[in-house]
Amino acid sequence: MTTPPSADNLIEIRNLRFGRGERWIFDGVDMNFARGKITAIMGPSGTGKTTLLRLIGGQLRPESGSIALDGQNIPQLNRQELFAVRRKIGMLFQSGALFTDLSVYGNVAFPLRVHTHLPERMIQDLVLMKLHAVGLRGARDLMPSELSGGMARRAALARAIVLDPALLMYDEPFVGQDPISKGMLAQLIRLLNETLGLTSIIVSHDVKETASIADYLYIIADGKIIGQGTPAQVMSTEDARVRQFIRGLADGPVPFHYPARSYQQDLGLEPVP
Amino acid sequence: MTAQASLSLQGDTLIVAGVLDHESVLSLEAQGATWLADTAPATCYADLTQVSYSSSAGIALLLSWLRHAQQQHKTLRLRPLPTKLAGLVRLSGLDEVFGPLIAEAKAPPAKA
Repeated sequence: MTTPPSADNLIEIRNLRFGRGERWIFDGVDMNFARGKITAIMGPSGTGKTTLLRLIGGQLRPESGSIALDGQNIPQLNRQELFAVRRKIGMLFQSGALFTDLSVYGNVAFPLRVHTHLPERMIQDLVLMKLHAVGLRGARDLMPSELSGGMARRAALARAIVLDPALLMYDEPFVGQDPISKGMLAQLIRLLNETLGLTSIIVSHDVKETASIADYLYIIADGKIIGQGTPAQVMSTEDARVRQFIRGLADGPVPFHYPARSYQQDLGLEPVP
Repeated sequence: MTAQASLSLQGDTLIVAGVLDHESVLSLEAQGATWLADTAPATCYADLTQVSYSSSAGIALLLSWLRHAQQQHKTLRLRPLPTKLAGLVRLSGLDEVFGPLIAEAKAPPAKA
């Protein structure tokens, strides 16, 4: 039975099916993303977590199912409507994706120059405010090549929030970060969510950091949701597949070995009777 | 879509109402600057209690008015900020700028 829509959710996904080749990345998935909360999508690499963000952003269209953002079904929007919806969405890419030929200031100012008619003085105020929020006001004149990995991620975060989006999507924000940067970024994500009243989606396979700030977790594998709930509920689940992922075990219901014919056959040996 | 926002005058106080976003602040900024340059008294107030929503652009609007006021050698004080705006001020580290300018809320008119 399909869950009825609720005003408490900014995004509601129903019966989502999306495939590549003969493989279903999502095979009849339902998900809710509550307003003002941090929802995390977790699961092993290659399970379609980033694909889900691209479906929500309208860069990909599903085979069937609905993705309603504030009541608008994303796959059915025309180009102009999609452009308007995307102004409500901020995105922090895994790579940071800063423009390498612009300073930190220029990177953060860029969306304001493209999407608003604000005078330069107000743009400067907003850029300084956002850079201060991520601790980089003093680094405004640096070029991306002069930033550490953690600083680059924070500069990209300042750019992602400069238009005050209703939804902020983070694609693997903790990848490649040292433990101090990870902790700092996790705190920042929580602070921004609470202060700006954002709805946040974090795609990650970093269990510790993500569970520490998320309000709700979805664990996906093989095109399905294999676990969901608050971090405490997911951590205490009895489901073997979820436990394998949470504990980082190499083998379990999600096998270590890709399916293959027998080892003897590969080695040109007769099976031992 | 143009957001709905408005300014009105009540003695020495500029009343700001409605939605403050990247579009609506443009005309408000110019109207407020004109008032500060022309008829605003040496100490004047901005009251934002009727603001229903504000993005960060609302803070940029206040900063712009504060600069205009200083250029005119006037003091613009702020009535208590709505919770969302106060949160944005904190997040942006602007407490030290706005803190000294926050005035007490205006008392409601006494009953006859």
